Amino acid sequence: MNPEPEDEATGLRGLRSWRGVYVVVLCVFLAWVGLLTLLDQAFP
Amino acid sequence: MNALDYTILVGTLVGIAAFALWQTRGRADLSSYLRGRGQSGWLAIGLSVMATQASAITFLSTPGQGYESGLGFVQNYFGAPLALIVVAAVFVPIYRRLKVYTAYEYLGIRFDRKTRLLGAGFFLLQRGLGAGITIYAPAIVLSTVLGWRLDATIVCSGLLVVAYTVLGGCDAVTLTQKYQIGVIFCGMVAAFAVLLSRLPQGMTFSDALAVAGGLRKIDAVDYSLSPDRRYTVWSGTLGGMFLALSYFGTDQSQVQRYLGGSSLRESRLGLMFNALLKIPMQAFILLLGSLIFVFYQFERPPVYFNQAAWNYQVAHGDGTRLRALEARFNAAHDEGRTHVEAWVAARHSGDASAEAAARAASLSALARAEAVRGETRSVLHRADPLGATNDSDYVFITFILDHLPHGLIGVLVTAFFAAALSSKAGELNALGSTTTVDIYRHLIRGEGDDRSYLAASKVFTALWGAVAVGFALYAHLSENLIQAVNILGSIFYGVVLGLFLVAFFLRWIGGTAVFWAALAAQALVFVLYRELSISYLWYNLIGCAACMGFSVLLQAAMGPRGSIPGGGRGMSAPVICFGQQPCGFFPRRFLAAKVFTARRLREQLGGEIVFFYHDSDHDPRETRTTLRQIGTGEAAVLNFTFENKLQRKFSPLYAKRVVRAWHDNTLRQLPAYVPRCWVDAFRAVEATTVADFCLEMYRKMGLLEGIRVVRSSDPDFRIRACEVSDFFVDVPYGGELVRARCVDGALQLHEGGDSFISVPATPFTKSQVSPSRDSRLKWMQSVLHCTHYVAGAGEQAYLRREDAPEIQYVNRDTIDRSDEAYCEDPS
Repeated sequence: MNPEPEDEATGLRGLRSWRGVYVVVLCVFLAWVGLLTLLDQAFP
Repeated sequence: MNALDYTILVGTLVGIAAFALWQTRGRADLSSYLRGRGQSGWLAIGLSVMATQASAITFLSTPGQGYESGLGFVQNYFGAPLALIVVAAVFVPIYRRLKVYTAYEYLGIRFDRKTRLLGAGFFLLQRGLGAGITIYAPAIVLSTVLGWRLDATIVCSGLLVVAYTVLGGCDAVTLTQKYQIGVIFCGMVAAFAVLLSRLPQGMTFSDALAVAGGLRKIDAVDYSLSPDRRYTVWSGTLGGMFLALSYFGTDQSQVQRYLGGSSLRESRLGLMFNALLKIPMQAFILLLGSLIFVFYQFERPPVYFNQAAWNYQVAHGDGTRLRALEARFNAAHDEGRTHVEAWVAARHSGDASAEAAARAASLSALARAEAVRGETRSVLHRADPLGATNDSDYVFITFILDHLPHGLIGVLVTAFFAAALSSKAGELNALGSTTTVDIYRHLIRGEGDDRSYLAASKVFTALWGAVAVGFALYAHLSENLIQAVNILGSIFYGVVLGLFLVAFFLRWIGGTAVFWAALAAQALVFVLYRELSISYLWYNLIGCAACMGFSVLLQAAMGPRGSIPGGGRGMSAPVICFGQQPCGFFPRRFLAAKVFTARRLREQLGGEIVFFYHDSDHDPRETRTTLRQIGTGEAAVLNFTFENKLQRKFSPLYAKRVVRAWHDNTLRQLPAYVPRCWVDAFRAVEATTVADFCLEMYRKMGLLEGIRVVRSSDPDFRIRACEVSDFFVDVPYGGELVRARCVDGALQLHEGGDSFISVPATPFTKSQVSPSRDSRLKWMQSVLHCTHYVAGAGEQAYLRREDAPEIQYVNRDTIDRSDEAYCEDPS
C-alpha cells in the first residue's frame, strides 16, 4: 500500500547511500580511463 | 564444425529456450507478459540489460575492430557509466513510481498523446530497422561456417527467437538472457585462453602487447579535439553519454528489462552492475582482436578473411589477379614475420636499437601487406558491389574455425547465436509491447480486456519478428555492422532523449512545444548528417540539445503554460483528477491509492490535484466500511444508520442525515478496530450528513491536504456542467429529498428488480441534475477540464473514454484488500 520509497537502502556493506554507490562507480570509470591511458603509454 | 559442435549448438540454444518456456509456463496475464512478474533480482536484471545490448555483432565484429584498429572503439563506451548513473538516479524512480509499461507511456502522462506517439514512433522505426541488422550478423557466421544459404540462416535463427519470445513474454526473455550471457562469457574467456596458449613459445603477454602497441593495434585513448576523429575520449564521453543515456533511459528494449526488477534497489543495482562492467568488457573483446592480430603475425592469415566470397571470386571471377595478390600478400607477411621475430628477440636481449630497427621494418612490411589487402578488397568489391566489403567482421570467426579445437568451436558459435538471440528477444519483446500499449491500446482499441491485449501483443511481437527477418533478408549492409547500428541509433536517439529530458527537467514546457521542437530537431539532425562528416556520436548531443533548445524557444513564443485559457493540450497546467463517491467513514483503500498516485504524478508534472467528490450518488452501499479487529483480524462491516427507508434508499448522499445515536454507538466500537488517533478524529466530526461526515474524516486523516475538492452536489457546478441525456434529478418526495431517475421525462425511484416508484412530475432546473454512471465523465470534464484522470482498472473499464479523449488515464496503485477501510496508524 505504501509507495515505494525513493531512498530505499542500497543493501551494500559500506555503501549505505545511493550517492556513495554512484561515486564509487564514477571512480571506477576514471580508473579504467586511466588504466587504458597507461596501457597506451606503456606500449606505444 | 563436427557432430560435437552441432550437438553443443543445437542442444544449448534449444535447451535454454525450452527451459525458459517451461519455467514461465502458465503466465497468461498481460502485466507479467509485458513487464514480467516483478521478481527479478539485480543480477538477473544486470545480465539481461547486458545481454540485450551485447548482440552477436558485439562479439563477432568487435574483435575484428580490435584487429584492424586497436582498442580505440572502447572510447565509444566511456559515456555509458555516467549515463547509467543518471538513469538509475532519475529515470528509474519515475518509471517505477508511475508503474508504466513503456517509457513512452510516461511521455503521454507528462505531455500528451501526440508526443507519446512520436516517442513510440521513433522507437519503432529505429529499433525495427535495428532488429533487422542484429539478425543479419549471426547469419553471416553460419553462412560462412556451415555453407548454408544466407536467407535460410536468417529465417531459421529468426524463427527460434520469435517462437520463445512470443510464447514466453518478458520473463522468458530475461531467463534465457541469463543463461545465454553465461554461455557467451564462457566462450569468450575460453577463446582468450586458447589464443594466449597459441602464441609462439617464449613470447610473453607483455611481448604480445608490445608488438600490438608497436604496430598501432592498441591506441586505446585519443585525447585529440578534432571533431573529425570518430572515436576520441571527448566524443566517447560526451556523445557516448548522450547515446547511452538515450539507449538505457528511453529505449523500451532496455526500460522493459529493468522495470522487471522486484524493487527500485534491484533495478538500480542491475544498472550499476553494467556501469562497472561495460568498459572492461568491451576492452577485453577489443584486446582479444588485437591479440589475434599479434597471433597472425606468426601464423599466415588469409589475404581476405571472408573465405566464401574469396573462393567464389577465385573460381568465377578474376582468379588470376586474386592469386597474384595473395602471393604478394604472403610475401609481405612472411617478411613481416621475420622482422617481428627479430623484434621480440631484441626485446628479450634488451637491445634497444635493434628493437627499434626491427619494429620499423615490421611496420613497413605491415603497410605493404595492408596495401595488398586493400587492393584485394577493391577487386572483390568491384566484382560484387552488394557483398559485404568490411573484412574485419570475418576475422574472429576465421580464427575460431582455423585454430580452436572442436567442442570449443561449438561453444563459440553457440555464443554468437546466444548473443544474437538474446538481443533480438529483448528487441522483439519491446517492439511488441510498445505497439500494443502505445499504439493499439492507446489509439486503436481502448476498450479491450487484458486477454485481448495479451493476444494482440503476441501477434505484434510475431509481426515485428517477420519485419526484422524481412529487413535482414533484403537490406544491403555495406558498412561495418556495429557502426551501422550505432549510427542508426544516433540519428534518432538524441531527439528522443531530448523529449525525456524536457519532460523531467523543464516542467514549464508543454506537449505542443516539445512535439514540434522534436520534429524540427530531427530534421536538423538529418540535414547535418548529410552535410557534415563529424563523428556520429555527436549527433546524440546535437539532437538532444536542439530538441531542448527548440522547446524552450517555442514555449517562450507560445507563452507560458496556463496563460492561455482553453489553449489546448500542452498549453495548460496539468489538472490531475480522480473521482469517487463517499466510500465509508474511513475511506476504502482504493481511494487512498488514488490519492497517493495523484500526488506522485503531481511531483512529476506539477499542476493541481482535484478530487471529484461524487456525493450526488444515493446508493447506501457506497458508505459501507470494512474494518478488521485489532488482534484477531476478524472483519466487520459497519455503515451509517438512517432515519427511514426513503432516506436510506433514495436520498443522495449529501442529503442522507447522520443519526446522532449512530455516531455515539460507532464511537464505542471503534477502539477495537482502529488506532486511537482515528477514534479521536471520528469523535471530533460534527457533520450532519453522510457526505459531509465522510469528507471531514478524510480531511482529518490528512488525505486531502493540498487537494481541491469539487462536489457533484454543488449547485454552481451543476449549472456550469454540460447537459447530458441520462441523468437523475433531486426532488422532494415524501418529506425527503430523493434522487429520481429521469426516463422519457418521467421521474422514477428504483426499488429493486423490476419495481419502480413513480415520482410526481415536477419542474426542475440544472442545479438539481446529476449524471448517471455512464454520463458522469463527460459531465465532470465539461467543468474540470482535467488533463489526467487516476482510476483503477474496474473504473477504467466502464469509463466512456470517447467522451473525453483528451484525458490521459493513469492507473492507480495496485493494492490488496482494496475494498477494506484505510485506517493505518500514521506513525
